Amino acid sequence: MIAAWIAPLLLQVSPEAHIAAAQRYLDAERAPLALAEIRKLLAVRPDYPRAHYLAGLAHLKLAEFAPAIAELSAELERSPAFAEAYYYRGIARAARQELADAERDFRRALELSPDAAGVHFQLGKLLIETDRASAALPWLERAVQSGPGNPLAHYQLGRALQRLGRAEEAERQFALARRLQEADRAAAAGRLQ
Amino acid sequence: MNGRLQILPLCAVLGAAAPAGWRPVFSDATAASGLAGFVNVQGARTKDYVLESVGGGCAFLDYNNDGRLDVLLVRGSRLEKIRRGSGDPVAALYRGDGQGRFSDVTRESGLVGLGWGMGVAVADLDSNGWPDVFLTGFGRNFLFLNERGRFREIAAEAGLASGGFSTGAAFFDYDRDGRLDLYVARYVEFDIERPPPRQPSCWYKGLDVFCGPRGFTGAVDSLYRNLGGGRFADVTERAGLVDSRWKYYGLGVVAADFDDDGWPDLYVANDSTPNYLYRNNRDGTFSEIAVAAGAAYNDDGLEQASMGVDAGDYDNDGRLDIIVTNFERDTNELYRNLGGGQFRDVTMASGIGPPSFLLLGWGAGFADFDNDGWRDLFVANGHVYPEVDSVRMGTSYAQRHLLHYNLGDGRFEEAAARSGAALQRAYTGRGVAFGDYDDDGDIDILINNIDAAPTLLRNDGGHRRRWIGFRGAPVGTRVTIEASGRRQVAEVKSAASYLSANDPRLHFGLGEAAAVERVTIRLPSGEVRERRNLPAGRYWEIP
Repeated sequence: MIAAWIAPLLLQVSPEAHIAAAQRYLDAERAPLALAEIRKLLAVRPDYPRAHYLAGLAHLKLAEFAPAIAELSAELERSPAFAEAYYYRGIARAARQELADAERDFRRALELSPDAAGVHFQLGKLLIETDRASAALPWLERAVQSGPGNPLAHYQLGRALQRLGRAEEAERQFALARRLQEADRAAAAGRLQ
Repeated sequence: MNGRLQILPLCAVLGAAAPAGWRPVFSDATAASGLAGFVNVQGARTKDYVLESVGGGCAFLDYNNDGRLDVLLVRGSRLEKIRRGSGDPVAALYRGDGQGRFSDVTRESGLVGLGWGMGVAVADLDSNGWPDVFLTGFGRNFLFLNERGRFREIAAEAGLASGGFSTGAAFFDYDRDGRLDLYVARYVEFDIERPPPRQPSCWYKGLDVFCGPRGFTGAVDSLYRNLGGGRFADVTERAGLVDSRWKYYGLGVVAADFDDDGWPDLYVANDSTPNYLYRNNRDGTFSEIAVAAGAAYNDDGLEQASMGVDAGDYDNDGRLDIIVTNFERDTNELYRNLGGGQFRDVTMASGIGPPSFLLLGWGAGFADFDNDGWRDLFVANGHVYPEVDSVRMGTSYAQRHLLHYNLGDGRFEEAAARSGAALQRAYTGRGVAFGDYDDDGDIDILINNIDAAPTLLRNDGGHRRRWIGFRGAPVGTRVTIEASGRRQVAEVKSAASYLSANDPRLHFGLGEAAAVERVTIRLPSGEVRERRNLPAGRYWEIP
């Protein structure tokens, strides 16, 4: 525990400044720095909104799934209607093969944010993995509707159709996914990266 | 066993079984081996161009047929030397004495060529009983025919010199005419006279880095049919290979019979583009089926920056699975072969995903390091951008390697940090070859590091469990063994991992089984032979 008298000294910048800095580090793929920033905040304000959430995202970017789940769970204790926290905790749980828990998180995220295409995609993918391709189909169709230019959604829809024995439709989705990727590549041709 | 006196733990001398859960350690044997003087120069250490970042491979082979493994290490060069029309010696060949020491025999063997070396494939092309060597490179390739331990370079006469930016290569008899054909992967169109300078659009996570491969035009892979008499013909279009259309950035290549129909198929790891799985149509053509087979992308459907590849049966179901190594902030992928032309991405379910996430993988292979009868996985790592050391982003230029032990239930446990001091250090790994260079019955590891000396990792104690090996089988031979109720399968490959070639012998861990009840040998021609009741503990001559 940090002594009460030292807390103001540690919090020399405002909580929101720590949050903003951590977010900037995450955007710049500097997860260790984001984590360091957020720890400074958590040391003095362990209940500050979004702090545990950002810590969870930082752990997720470092493939540290168990601490990511712990931080996101801590955030959800404080903000039980935080759809994104459920979504990312679902991803972390899926990575740890805790598939039933991951599915519960994705479904809770959908209750809170029914039109979230990312959740449609992740839930559809999880349902394919757990051999429920017919249940996956409507979610992946919605993911495709939300993002018709997204090759990943077409690919997953193709996988679901393939599992259901609808080979020609699956092939069409796979071809669409590849065409979209090739269009991206053609647009980038000659522009060195 | 070769009968030499070796330092062995007492339990091995007494024949005591290794306890359950026991694993070997790996020792750095480079200094004592005589290989430490080699440096795999790949351009400037600042890595200003993509050409300087991807080479090169290595091989275990027995070039002089003395029964002892030799080592070949591929070397790059520098841009200014290539511009002047020369280059560095593309490879060094070291003769092994079977006791862990190697002598440089490059010059006396005739394996001499100047250029910028990348990869290696090894096979007996002319069926004279001596392994020939194909070296890929930037600018030109080399084919060294082995004439009783002396090499003669014939790439131009053979029609194989055309280099471009050649990377992975593999010999395989795709049309089953008894002659080994050749696939050569190529990376990008790279103009050495006008190499693309660093520019603002070329950045990685906020760091200014060399450009590529994105934005480059991909270089086209080639399939060469062996016409006999040392001549090859380019049959890429006729065979239905799609790379002339897609021009993906080709790197690692492995040829193996994924659908177990007796005709070799092909998998190509492509950087920043989908990977290829070519199914052999048994009529001289191939169909590219990777997307529908579930082996082109990761589980999300994302194309990855793939480098190395190997084929091996990790779950002992008789089907060859695929490991693909990938870029940092991405996982290496393990594709389980379900049969029926379908693969399932089991990267996360198997446990190999998370440990690989912050590492950049290159050479890799399935091998049973602890001889328990289940093939493990080794992956060599190292970043391409030296600049990553300048910031805290959770990764580094030199990286530690990954050693995933197979738990026998579909899962792996990463245990490099508990497998000896050598595996706790960081390296700039690229190509990796696997083989039993000291003939003690366990699999050792050779790594070609970029801009550094190689690393020879000696497996200490893997032979505490029983094993059996087979030598003399031609490329494409499939061997199935049955011992103590367990069946294992492996194929002889001319190349795998990353731009590299493994010990041509096949090695199987047997756990506690003292003998193999049945060995089924399927030759590339389709002919099947059988041997029964072979005792463990030695390499048997087949077929």
